[in-house]
Amino acid sequence: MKKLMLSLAVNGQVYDVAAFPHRTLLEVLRDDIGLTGTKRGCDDGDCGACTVLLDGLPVTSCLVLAVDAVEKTITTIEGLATAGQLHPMQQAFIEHGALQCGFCTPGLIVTAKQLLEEKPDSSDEEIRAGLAGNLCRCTGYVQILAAVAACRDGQLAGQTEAP
Amino acid sequence: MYPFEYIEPSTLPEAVAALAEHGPDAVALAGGTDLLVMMRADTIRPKVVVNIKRIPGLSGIAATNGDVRVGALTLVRDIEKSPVLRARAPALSEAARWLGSVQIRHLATIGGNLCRAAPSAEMAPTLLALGARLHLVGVQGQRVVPVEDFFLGPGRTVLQPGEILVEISLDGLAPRSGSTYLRHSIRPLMDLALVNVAAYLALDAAGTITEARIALGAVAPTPIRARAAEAELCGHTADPALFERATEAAVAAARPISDVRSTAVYRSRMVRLLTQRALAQTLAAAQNGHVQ
Amino acid sequence: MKKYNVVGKPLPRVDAYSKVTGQAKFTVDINLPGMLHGKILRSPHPHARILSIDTSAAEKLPGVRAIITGTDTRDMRYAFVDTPRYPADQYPLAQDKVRYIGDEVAAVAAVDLETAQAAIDLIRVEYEVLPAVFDPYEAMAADAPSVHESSYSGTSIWEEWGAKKTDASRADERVNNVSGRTVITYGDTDAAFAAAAYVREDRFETGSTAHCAMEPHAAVAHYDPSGQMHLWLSSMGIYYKRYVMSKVLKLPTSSVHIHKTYVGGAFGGKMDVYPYEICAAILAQRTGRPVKIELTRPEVFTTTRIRFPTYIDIKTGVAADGRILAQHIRTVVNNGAYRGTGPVVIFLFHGWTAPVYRVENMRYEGVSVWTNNPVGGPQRGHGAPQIRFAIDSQLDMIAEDLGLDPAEMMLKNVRHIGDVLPNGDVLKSCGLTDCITQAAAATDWTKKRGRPGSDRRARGTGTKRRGVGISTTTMISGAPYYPFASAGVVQLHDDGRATLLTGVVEMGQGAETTLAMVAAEELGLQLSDIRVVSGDTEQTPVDMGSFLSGGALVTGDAVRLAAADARRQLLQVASERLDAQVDELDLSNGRVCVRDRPDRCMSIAEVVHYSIKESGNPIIGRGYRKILSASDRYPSLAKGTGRWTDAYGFNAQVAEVEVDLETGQVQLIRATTYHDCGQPLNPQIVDGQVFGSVSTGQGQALTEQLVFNQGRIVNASFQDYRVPTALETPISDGAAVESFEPAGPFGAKEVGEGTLAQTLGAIANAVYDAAGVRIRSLPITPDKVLAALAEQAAQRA
Ligand SMILES: Cc1cc2nc3c(=O)[nH]c(=O)nc-3n(C[C@H](O)[C@H](O)[C@H](O)COP(=O)(O)OP(=O)(O)OC[C@H]3O[C@@H](n4cnc5c(N)ncnc54)[C@H](O)[C@@H]3O)c2cc1C
Ligand code: FES
Ligand code: FES
Repeated sequence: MKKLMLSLAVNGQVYDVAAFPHRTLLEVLRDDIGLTGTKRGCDDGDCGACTVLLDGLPVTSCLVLAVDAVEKTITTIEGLATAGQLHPMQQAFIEHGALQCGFCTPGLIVTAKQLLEEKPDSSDEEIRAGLAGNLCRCTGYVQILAAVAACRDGQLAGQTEAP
Repeated sequence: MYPFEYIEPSTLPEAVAALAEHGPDAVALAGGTDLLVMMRADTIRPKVVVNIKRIPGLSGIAATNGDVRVGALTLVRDIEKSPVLRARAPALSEAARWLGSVQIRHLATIGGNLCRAAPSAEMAPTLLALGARLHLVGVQGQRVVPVEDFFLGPGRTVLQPGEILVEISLDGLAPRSGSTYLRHSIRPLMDLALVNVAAYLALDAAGTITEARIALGAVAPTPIRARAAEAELCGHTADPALFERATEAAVAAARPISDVRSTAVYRSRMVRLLTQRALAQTLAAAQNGHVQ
Repeated sequence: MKKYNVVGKPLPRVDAYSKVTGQAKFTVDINLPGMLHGKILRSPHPHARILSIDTSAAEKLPGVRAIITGTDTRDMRYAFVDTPRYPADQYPLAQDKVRYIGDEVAAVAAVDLETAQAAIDLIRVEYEVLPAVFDPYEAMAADAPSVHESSYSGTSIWEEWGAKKTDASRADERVNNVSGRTVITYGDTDAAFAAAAYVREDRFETGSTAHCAMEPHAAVAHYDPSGQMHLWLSSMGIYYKRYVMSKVLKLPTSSVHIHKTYVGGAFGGKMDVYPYEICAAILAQRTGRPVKIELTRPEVFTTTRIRFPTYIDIKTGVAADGRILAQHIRTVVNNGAYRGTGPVVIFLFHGWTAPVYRVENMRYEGVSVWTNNPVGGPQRGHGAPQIRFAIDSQLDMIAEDLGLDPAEMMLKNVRHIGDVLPNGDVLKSCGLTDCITQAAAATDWTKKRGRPGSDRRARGTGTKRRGVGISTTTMISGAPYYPFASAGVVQLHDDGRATLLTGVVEMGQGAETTLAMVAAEELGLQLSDIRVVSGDTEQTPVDMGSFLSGGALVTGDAVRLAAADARRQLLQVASERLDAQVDELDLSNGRVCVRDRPDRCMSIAEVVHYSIKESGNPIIGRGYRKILSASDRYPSLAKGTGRWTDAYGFNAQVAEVEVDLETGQVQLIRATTYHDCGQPLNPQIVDGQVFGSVSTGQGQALTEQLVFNQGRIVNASFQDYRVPTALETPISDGAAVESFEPAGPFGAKEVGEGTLAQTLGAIANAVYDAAGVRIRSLPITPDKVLAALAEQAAQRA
């Protein structure tokens, strides 16, 4: 077995990594590129903590071989805020207390952001179904659903600054 | 996951050759949502992984005349959203909606779902009910297999080493026909079906049932057709007693087991319930003639 | 309620920004230069003798740096419970025997995970498979295989902290696999049962559930040549883990440094010290390099504790008006292969009983039994879900039998402010009555529930039936355990802001935020003025940990006292400068002013400047609090005597469900929770705790169950262990009832841990109300409901 040279375009930047073909996109992001915001909760596609956008669509990065992400664009949680400005979905999660331990949060925010981009007027029911692949054990989802709905409805109070 | 050799062919013949060369040591990689899970659990440990996703022409949905062709590498998410399928085979789009999460559906392919041959495979009952035909390509060339002849057992299909499923075709859907897919699971989403049922009914102008297909999943080693139930229906006009007899026959056709997900008794009851509902809904759809 | 400036406001969490941007570092995110990766070899057998272990082939594999086996941990016996009566029964790596599937046998450190796994595959272990036992009743039979036969003599680690040397381990308990026994009696049960108008006996069963913290357990260890052990752990309390690690590794406590990481959920499952953590430390010592061990999700499911499966028999005698006169409760707990907290949970079953309903005549008997199953341990509510489900299910049945409304029957029995519990704990706050009445009022209980005794089968005719049920519960606010106290330090800066140092671990409960709010309130600052440094044994003071629900009351009070100390110093300095008496000064909005003299003010920054220039005092406040203010003893696990907490939280919940009579599926429509947590410090965080608890309760009531086959968990994945998804989110409403706990900071006490337990009983009772079937074993799965409906139909026919 030998390592492959992979060029991965993550959050608008190209990273050249040498990785074995069996390494998943999740592993390469976390261990080789050092973007640890994307989390591993199960490594089986069941929890959604590892969700990233691949060519703009949410996928569980634990079920994608890194080599399969070559020539695609990858967006992780670290790529959401631009020029110090939080993405509205991030802001909504803060305002609604939609996180506790925060381990599921990156995956949820990435999934919810794309959900509203694909269908800005998603119904509450569509939001629930669209987030079913992101498990959260802490919050019971109530404040998460409220945050996503507030983001959809453009009801955000402000911009949180970096502490 | 254990290391493996990775091959990324760009044509079908290359892929077939690579798979044939390594025989049982090689696997085709489509969406990977079954394959990587199995490899991580070490239930399979392939030496060679052949990624077939970069081969052009294996995905997409096309409709010509009465026929619909679905590339094996088509994402389940695209099947869910396809306007063509929603019009021509709505039960297939409906089935797609239930498979995993949106993240999984953006990776999973319809071909992978069939080739994995899980008894509960989401896409299988509808394809059985619609009489789908599978196009396989191997070193010997191409062959066409009716989907009902495809499955041999849990995880086992008629695919020969080196053979790749390239396309699924639905043809001969009658003008006055309808199809339905229903499934039952403990969690409404993100849960494998305890039982899934699909039905297809075609009617003539007088309302007599001319064609009937009922398929059951997760109640036998493979997804199955309930042929005795279909025989009850063909040539008759729908009425509650007829549907009841067909339902009984479907229940009799099921051979459910008790396992970590449910009990045989419970599965049996769900076959009854879902078949009843599926027949009623399919009849209504056929009467509205929503497959042209 | 009293008006506060900061406390009681739904302020955004202080850790939110780093968590929504992916910057927050969890233990799994720690990667150190030169770090090795560790893997554990685990037993494939539920019970076997280890005849030999051959690591020679594995050692030759390039990239393998160290391999350890039982011989390397021979002198490392340890456990959460380690007392003369219940001596520790576990080793980091198995000695002579393995006792469950997953038991740790060997550990490897290698340059990467692949090499570590390859090395594990090359280790040859010869086992002699022994007969195994999985059922606690079978395990108690005289001829059952013994899970533990050695007697584990020696000094227990808690003796140095005052655990009394009493009747050493009793031989009779050993023989029958009994790992713990609790017997608590008060009053005269015989006489009270004889006098009762109605007596009923029922059996309940609760399955085993998993914590499912989203972050898998992980440890990173690095041993530096100066003798310092650096650890990054998934923990709930760093001081407890430091103590046990230091004991096991034979290092001075202060030579073990646990570094701060965020913890991705715990729910009880990250309290105990686990073999993989000790192995990481030993491997780091052996190799001189950092070692990381991250458990896979299946490993988390099988080897990091599960909820104790429990059988509960309750006999209750009541007066005709529904007053409970006597109760005889017997519990049998499947402890699994090691004690974990088995002897604690059988004590706690009673602990969650006495504070809720006043029962003057009680006989409680609990036994925990070793089997060859995975090990039980604390899990959100630690015993409360099981016992509250049983007690309130039975109360619902008794109410129906007597033609009473269960909510009214509860009100007749609940405790009130001023009640003294059998162990001497005093309820200085108790909002139970308000919780029940407000939950009932908010849900239109009387109308929805209908007249007591009315025919429930008359509820609608469709295939979907709605019903409501009610249940109650309680939770402590801290109990005495190592390190027995919490402390806080508040340091003022010359810009007028402050840093709070607290040893608490932020695992999602919002401790960093609520504690900062406490400090801000006391100092007249805004939340944004407080920086928090938390969860690091070298940088932050001692903390009791977040596993006995003492975060708000005990640590909160320590922080309040620290801030008060800083405030005192601040005012002292200001009084010199402003030439006024301290008691004439007001501190608010970052300013000290002479009362009613807005012209005579100084900002905090100015006071600190002045203080440093005058005397050099930069103003550092410190505070501390003992967990249990008035006692120096452990409560007796065996007899239930002795005080163990300063305050109890309470709550009541009405659940509304819809039962699908055709599929047997139960859907939680709405959960209305009224709770008494004293003064809520941050209502948004309190809400979050309640919503999360309701969701977990919903899962554990309806869909979650670990399935065992001969000691193997066959559904160790999120695929088949079904935690609720966003789609099943019920309407979750309710509120905090007006309450003030004098022992807590600004009147606060525990919230969160307790709010799970009542969901199970409320749902079970609602299912009965909807469908007329009583499910006495959790979870309430569709096949159980359909089977019960079929039986009901057969009985009626
Ligand atoms: C979290 C999660 C939830 C899921 N939920 C569901 C669900 O609800 N219902 C359900 O049915 N399934 C579910 N699955 C299983 C899986 O997603 C589906 O079966 C999926 O359709 C498989 O497709 P794939 O492209 O990912 O296949 P892969 O994993 O790539 O392949 C599966 C198997 O088929 C073979 N194969 C794939 N394509 C071809 C081809 N064209 N020719 C020959 N052989 C081929 C592969 O070699 C492999 O053996 C779930 C999986 C996950 C991880
Ligand atoms: S880690 Fe990928 S879905 Fe859980
Ligand atoms: S916030 Fe902890 S899992 Fe979601």
